[in-house]
Amino acid sequence: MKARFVYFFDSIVKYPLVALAFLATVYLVVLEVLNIIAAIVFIVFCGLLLLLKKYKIHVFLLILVIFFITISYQKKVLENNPVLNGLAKFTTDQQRVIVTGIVQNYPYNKKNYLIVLLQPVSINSRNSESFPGLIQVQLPRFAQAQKGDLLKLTGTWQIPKNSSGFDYQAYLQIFDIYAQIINVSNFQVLDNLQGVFLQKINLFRSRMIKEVRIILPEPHASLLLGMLIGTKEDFPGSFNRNLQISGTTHIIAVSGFNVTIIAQFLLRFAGVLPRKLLFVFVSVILGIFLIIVGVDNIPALRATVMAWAMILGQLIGRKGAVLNLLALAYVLMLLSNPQIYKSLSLQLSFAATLGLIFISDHLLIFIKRFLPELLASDLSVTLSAILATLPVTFSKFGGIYIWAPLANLLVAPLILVIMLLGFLLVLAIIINISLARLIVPLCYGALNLMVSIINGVSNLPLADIKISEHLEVISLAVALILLIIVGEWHFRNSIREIR
Amino acid sequence: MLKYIVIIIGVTVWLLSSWIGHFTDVSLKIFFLNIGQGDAILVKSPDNKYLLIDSGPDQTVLSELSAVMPFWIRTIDLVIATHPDADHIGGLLDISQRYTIALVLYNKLDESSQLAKNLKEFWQKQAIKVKGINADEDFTFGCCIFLDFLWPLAQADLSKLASNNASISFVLKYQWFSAFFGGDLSKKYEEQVAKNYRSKVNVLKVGHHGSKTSTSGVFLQIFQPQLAVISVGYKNRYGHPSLEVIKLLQDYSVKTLRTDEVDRIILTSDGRKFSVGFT
Repeated sequence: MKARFVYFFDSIVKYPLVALAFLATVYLVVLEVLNIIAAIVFIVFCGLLLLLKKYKIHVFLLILVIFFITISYQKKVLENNPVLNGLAKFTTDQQRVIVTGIVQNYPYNKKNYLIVLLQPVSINSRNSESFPGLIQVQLPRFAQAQKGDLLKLTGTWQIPKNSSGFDYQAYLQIFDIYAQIINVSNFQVLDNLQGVFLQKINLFRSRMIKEVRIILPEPHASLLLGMLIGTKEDFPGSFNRNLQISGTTHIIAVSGFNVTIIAQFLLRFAGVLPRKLLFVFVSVILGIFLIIVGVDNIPALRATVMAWAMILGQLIGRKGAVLNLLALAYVLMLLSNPQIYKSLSLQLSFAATLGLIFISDHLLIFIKRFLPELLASDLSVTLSAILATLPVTFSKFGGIYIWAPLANLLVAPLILVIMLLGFLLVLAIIINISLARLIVPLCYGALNLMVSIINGVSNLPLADIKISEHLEVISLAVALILLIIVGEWHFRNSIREIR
Repeated sequence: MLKYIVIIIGVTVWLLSSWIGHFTDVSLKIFFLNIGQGDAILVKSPDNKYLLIDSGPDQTVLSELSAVMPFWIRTIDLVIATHPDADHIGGLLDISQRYTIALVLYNKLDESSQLAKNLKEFWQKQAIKVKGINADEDFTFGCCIFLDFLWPLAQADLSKLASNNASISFVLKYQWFSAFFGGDLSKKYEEQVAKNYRSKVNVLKVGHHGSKTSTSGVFLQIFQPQLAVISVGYKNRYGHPSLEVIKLLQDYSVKTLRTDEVDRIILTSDGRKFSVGFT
């Protein structure tokens, strides 16, 4: 036991300072600990490392400055919180308003509405430049609105309402949404303000979604689109519920988780291609992904930056380099928007990346005992990402259903296969739709297997039973168990290496 | 490499078995889809043509269609929109956007509702063939399905009829098997239709989701169905089906099935007998 502790502390001081700061921050972010506590822990942690005299003072100071700027900026944002101030400056709750604004998102269907996020230009004919964020608008389901459209509409202004146990206001603020407009009686598109390039991307994306929906049935088409480009459409029928019950919503919740897996897969070619060439190749693939998803899709952009940092780090060949690059990416993102630490997509892609760095190698050794190497490597990549994101999914998806771990284990081998086939399908759609039809059976087969697993698990006895109490404690416990397992693996490997 | 060979062989075997299963099935199949409160009924003819009667209230119909149609079939040969209420045509735009539709038969699809307006615009843009229908016209679907249209009468002034009472009503016949579909037609008009038809049917799609405004003793007396199917949503706010109708069906010894109780109902017929299956 003593050897384990010595190893633990020894490995802590061996890791780069920036990386450790990053890990500590993420840990606190995952557990939603108050920022002030995060700051204290951070300072104490870095102070201890300084006492150990392992690091140069200017690195510590630089990180400290960045961290404090972040914290103070966040404090400022919270003080200016327009929801807390009642948004009285603009209008009052439940009043009819006339709003002009620019559509900031790819509109998506939710129940009987088309959801658009509007950056207001004017509210009741008054300039709304000082409005701090976006307004979520419920348009009629089949309304024609596109990203970049300048809309004018009349509707009912609504401050987001919290329901029991769920802070909806805080949830929407993660996405920079501060108000809602419902019951839209009339609206018109005045113009489209996007540049030619973005309009072309918009068109390409719409065409891709349309074609996938034509050649694949539901819910397969929506599942694939959710996994590939994070579309937020409702699934027809009971599939939404089944995703929740089987604990697999994270597969389609954001694209970050999946990008990380794809990036890791591409690294497999490290032995085949020269490193520089591989880096260019992976960068191009990630670039294409970003264009498809939308270069202004912030979660995807973040995930891609992280995946890119990870790959760069891994190609450099040192774990320390990977962690440093990831830490840098994270701190920069936090600096750009302090609210980002609450972002589910960021937490998921970070956790998934950490899983790939710390867990996948050890998991591969373990799985190889039971499965052929190729299958084992696919499975280790996906399972390590799933394992590392467990604390986040447990605490953020409103509870744990008892069969969720089983469903995740069963769908894990399919995620990478579906992602790759999906990319092939999209590529074929671009080239020729007939070519795409040739790939459909393979794609459908894999998707159908996943749909069957999700539906099957959610119909198992007791599937409805949900653990929704003490989620933070459970998340913390899971995180600790993971930490112990990973620590133990590292310890054993280091012993093996010494021998 | 072995892994990929196994996967390709597996997919090929699965595809072949699906294709063989599909093309060797020469029975008539009627799927009463569980789409909640509304109607959506898919008919597969013995020569594998697809007819959709109504589309339910929303896009739920898409996953129901996927569950009963082979994935490679993306064409619906005929759509009958019985009447323009949301619980009957609510999912039609979603279907039109995803499936190739050869022909739509409709009735009184006026442009007073935004949905109907969107539908008409979309069909026009996609050059989907659309046709009004009345009792003077009959229709052969696929190899051997005969659609005997009974309502609305050619001389009926649809503008004077309430939406439910303008429902396209017809008997679907395959050799000796027959089934009646009457949308949401009310008692008065159902009785008129039955009196004009004057023959028995094997299966009855109960009108207006089992509401007491439809299905009378006179109507059941003439049609004498062996099986009645009620397409209805679980715990719906209208209280459908009404106890009155359920009791009436019991009194006439009609076996009754409800989609809210048994989920999707699958009826198979070889033209003489029929059998009932579930999801």
